[in-house]
Formats: sequence, C-alpha cells, structure tokens
Amino acid sequence: MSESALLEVISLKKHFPRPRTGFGPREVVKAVDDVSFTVARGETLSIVGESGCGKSTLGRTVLGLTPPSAGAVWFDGWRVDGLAKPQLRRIRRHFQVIFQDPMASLSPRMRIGDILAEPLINFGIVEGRKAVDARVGELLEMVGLPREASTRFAHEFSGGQRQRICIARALAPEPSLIVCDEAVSALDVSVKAQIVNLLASLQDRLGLSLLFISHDLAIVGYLTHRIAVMYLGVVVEIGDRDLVLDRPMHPYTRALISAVPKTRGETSRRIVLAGDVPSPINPPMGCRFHTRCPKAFDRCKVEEPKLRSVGTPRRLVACHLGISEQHASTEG
Amino acid sequence: MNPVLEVHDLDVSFDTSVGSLRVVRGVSFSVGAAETVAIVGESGSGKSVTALSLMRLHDPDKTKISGSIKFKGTELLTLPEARMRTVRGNEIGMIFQEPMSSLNPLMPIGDQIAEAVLLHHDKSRAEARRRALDLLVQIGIADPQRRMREYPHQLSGGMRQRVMIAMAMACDPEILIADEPTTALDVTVQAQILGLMRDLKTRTGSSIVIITHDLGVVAELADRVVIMYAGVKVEEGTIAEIFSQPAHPYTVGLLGSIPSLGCSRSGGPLTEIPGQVPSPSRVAVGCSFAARCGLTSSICLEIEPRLENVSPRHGVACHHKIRTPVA
Repeated sequence: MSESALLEVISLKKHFPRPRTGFGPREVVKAVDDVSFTVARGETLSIVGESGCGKSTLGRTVLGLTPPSAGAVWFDGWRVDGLAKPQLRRIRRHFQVIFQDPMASLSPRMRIGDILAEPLINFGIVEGRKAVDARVGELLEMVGLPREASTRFAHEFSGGQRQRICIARALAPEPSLIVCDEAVSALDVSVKAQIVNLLASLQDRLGLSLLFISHDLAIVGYLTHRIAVMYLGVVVEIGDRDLVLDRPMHPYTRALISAVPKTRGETSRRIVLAGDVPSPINPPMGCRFHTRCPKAFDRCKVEEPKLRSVGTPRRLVACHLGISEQHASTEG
Repeated sequence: MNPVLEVHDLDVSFDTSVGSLRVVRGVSFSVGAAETVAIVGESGSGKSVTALSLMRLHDPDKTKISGSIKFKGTELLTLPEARMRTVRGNEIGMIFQEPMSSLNPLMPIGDQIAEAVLLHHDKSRAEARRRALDLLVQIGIADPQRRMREYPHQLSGGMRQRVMIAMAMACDPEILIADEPTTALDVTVQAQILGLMRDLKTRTGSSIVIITHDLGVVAELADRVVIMYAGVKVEEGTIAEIFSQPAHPYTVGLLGSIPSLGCSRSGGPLTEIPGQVPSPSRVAVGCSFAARCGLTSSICLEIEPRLENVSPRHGVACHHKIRTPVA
C-alpha cells in the first residue's frame, strides 16, 4: 500500500445473485466488477457515472454496509472488508457517510442535539453531558447552524439545513474520510451551492478525504481533485480532474462530458450516444461500452480492455483505441 | 403576430388544512407561434402549478384560479369542462417528469398512443394504430412493430419518456407543455430527449412551454425565459438577455450557483444565495426575495416591486436592478 493513501480499494467486486428462475444457470448482477483505486489524505476522489453503473454499491461496499464478493478494502493500514461487527464498529468512526435524502437519514423522533450526541457518546469522543452539549454546539456552528437548533426536530428544517445536520453528524466522530453518496443531488440549485461550499471549506480546514459519488459532472468538476468514471460496474477512466475533464480519453467519458448542457455559451460538438445503458445482468461481451460506442471496432466485441496508464501513471484508461487516435479525435 | 397562449395575471391558491395558500401570484406571460418559453424556478416557486393551470388539471373543489389564460383568443378558465376536454391532448399536449406514473402499466404502449388518437379524431382503430406506429418511428424507437406490443415496464426510462412525447404529439397539438421532462433521466439520455424535442419543434412548428429548474436545459432549448420565485415572476427575457445580462439578484445568484464544467475550487467558492426558499404559507410584505438578497433596502421590505422593462422584451421585478456590463 502506498505511503499517502488513506483508502485503498483493490479488485473490489460486488455481485448480487438473482432468485433462480427456471433451469438455466443462476443470473448474477455484477454491480461492481473488479474496481481498484486509492484516496489520499485530504483528497477528493469523485465516482461519476449514470444510474445503474454501480457507483452507489461501490460506496456501500467500501463502507462495509454490504460485504464484498471479492477484493479488499484497506483503510489507514487496516484491512476493513470482512471484519466482524465489533471491530468494524470501532473502525467506522474514521469513515462516515452522507446520503442523498437527509429526511430519510435523520430520526423524526429525536431532537437534533440527541442525534449529534449519539456518535459522540457511542464512540467515546467526549465524556460527560456538559462536554457533549458543548461539542454538539460546536458541530452545529461548524456547519452554519445556530446552537439553538439542537432542541428542534428534523422536520422543522428545510432540505438544505437537514443536509447540514447530516454533515454535522458525519463530522461528530472526527472521521478522516467521508463518503458522500449523491449528497447534494436532491437540493435546490441555490442551496446546492451552499452545501458544496461548506464541504469544500470543511475539507480544507479539517484535512478530510472525500469519496464523492455523483452524477453531476459540473459539481464534481468544482469539488474534486481526481475523478473515476464508471460504466456498468467497471472503472473506464480514472485520473486527475484537469486531465479527465479537459482531455477525456475514453469515448464514454467524452460523451458524458459533452452531454452536460452548457449555460455559458460554450460551444462544443455534442456526442449523442445511441440507446440506453445495457443491463448489468448480462453485460456485453468484450468492452462493456461497445454497444453504444461511436468508435467501436471488432476487437472491442471480444476482448475486455484493461485499465492502462496513458501519459502519466496518474491517469488510467480502459480502451483499445490507440492513444494517438484518441488524441487526434479530441483535437479534431 | 398574435401569441398562441396568453396568460394574464394568473393567481392560484389551494385550500389546505392550514388555510388558503397562494402559490402563484399575478403571473403573466405569452407564448408565440413556434416559440419555446422556459419557466424556471426552484421547488416551491409555483412553476409546476402554473403549468397544470394551463391545462386546468387542478382539483376544482380545492383550487381557486383567477386571471386569464387565453389559447388562440379563447378563454380557457371559463370554458365548460366538455370543451376543455377537446383542448387537452388535442390542441395542448403535455408531458410530465415521471413517465412511469403517467403511463398505464396494463396496456401495451401502441394501444396507449392509439387511444390518444381515437379520443380526439374520427379514425378507425387500424388508422389509429398506423398513426401510433408512425409516431414511434418519428421519435426514434428501434424495432417499432415489436415495441408497439410491449408494456411500459419493458422499456427503459428514456424510451418511456419518448413514448410520452409520442402520445403528447399524437394529435399535432399547437402547444406542448413539458413539466421537467428530463429531470429524472441520466445526462446521456437527457441529451437524446433534448435533441428529439428540438427536432420535433422544427418539424411540427409547435410551441413549447418547458418547466424546469435546470438552466442548462433552458440554454439548450428555449427562446425566452420566465424566472419565477415564490409564486411571482421576477424576470423575463430572451435567452441571450437572461444569460448575459441578468438583472434580478435572484437570477444572478441562480446563474452563479451552477458551476460550469471548467470551474474548480481554485477559482474561489461558488456564489451562494443565502437562506432557504420561503414556504408559501409565509406571506411576505414587499419583495419575496428580500430575505435572501444582498441588495435589500427599506423599500424592498415595504413595497412589492412591479415588473418593469429594461429593454423591449426584458422585464425585471426589482427595486435595485443590476446592470451587467456587456462583456
């Protein structure tokens, strides 16, 4: 494991067997199929992709909310996949999560103060009622809410404020990594910017690592240091933000970026992909993207391309197209 | 040229257990022939309520609508229900955000499209089915013969939305109302649907009213934009005017809070609009945006600003209009 990596995911797989129907072989949904990446301290890695690409399952598997089918997850020198519940519980204070729908993640019957005190007490972060109350107040202020919020209930807050409470709760056990699973997707545009700014400033202040799972490329582009693009359970391209966004190499990444509607009058030729994402039950043979790829050729139908570094070891692309061709078509 | 649709001083309130909620307040706009107008706002802005009012789809027992909605000179708000039914679907088509809840799960999609044709036109079943098949071809569905016989659950989200569009276009309506048509779709599929809508618009020459919160979609599709906030129209103008010279602080904030693709943290934090979208139960005196606005002065808290034109087609309801220097 490399020096600086806080999280290292190695060949992670998560397969869901489907109920047996008839006599044929049992079908398996390969939601995550051999995914590897690292997240350094203080870094944001974003996982982007469309619905069904496996990005949320990946997040859940990394968190240990669901056991992986194969592969390993290393966190700060500890192997955390397959840990027994008590050990997992202890190490979990170091990696927390924020989900998309804050109303579904907050108990409607608990006061905000109690919601925030729970992790403080469970993980033994602070001792004594007074100290807990003081820390709850600090956490609320950190996320831009008044201390008085602690006596109120979740339903008394708006969507953006509730997401702030979820962030405060995630920060309570002083984690070093937070997984954000579509954490700003359900928020209104004007509130989304507030939460994105809050996450960015908290990261800078606390040196947090973020695993930011999102389908919103503009938000990802703003917040992230590195990007991994997923398609049908596999990573097709991973690299530094500037490289992936400004000079995408995989045809899927290029189509995804060109599909984002532009507001500032930038003109770019749009690559419109035909058809829909195929089912992850029987992903296409060869390259999983070949059924929609505008550049597919014979080899793509039979041989699955492996991730290989292009230009710099910090950027990996899984595509059979020669690098020169890709460059030519980027510039053309 | 006379506008196809003219909405004047539209006011919508709902009777609820907590009293009457006024969710749309005095909204006026018009849609010209072959024009695409986008109504933009966040949740609670009243944009969807406005769209449903155009079709008179609110529960008449619980809703009070006043003002005027004229479709080619005919007042829709006072039209008898029987006449209104011939307008819906036939002259004004509508598509919604979630196609799965708008389609009948027990009926093959070919029959559903044909039904729309049969309802409004004196045609035989066979003719209606031919029209349905023709529409499926037009909206770019592969293998339409087979798809005709399939049920909604057998289609993907993007294909279902295409079917919704086919149904809405079945009777060649003069206006298509699209309420968040791409919000539930993935970006690559959204790009397909936006392309299809642009294509249909040029081919059929129908007007489109698109309701959305996504300014990117607006930039792709619309000719003119109406910005709504808390039930009020705060700004209106052509695409170019709204995007390059927004004059209302809310519009400016909205545009600033969406990062464009090239934008990163090194460029500083995103523009925030502080605070939250107000709830319609709280009736504000003065400007409804005053509580979140950086330019608020005493006049904003007392007098509700009226829409004033800053250029012939660009109107703003603000006491402190922002003059963006033309870059």
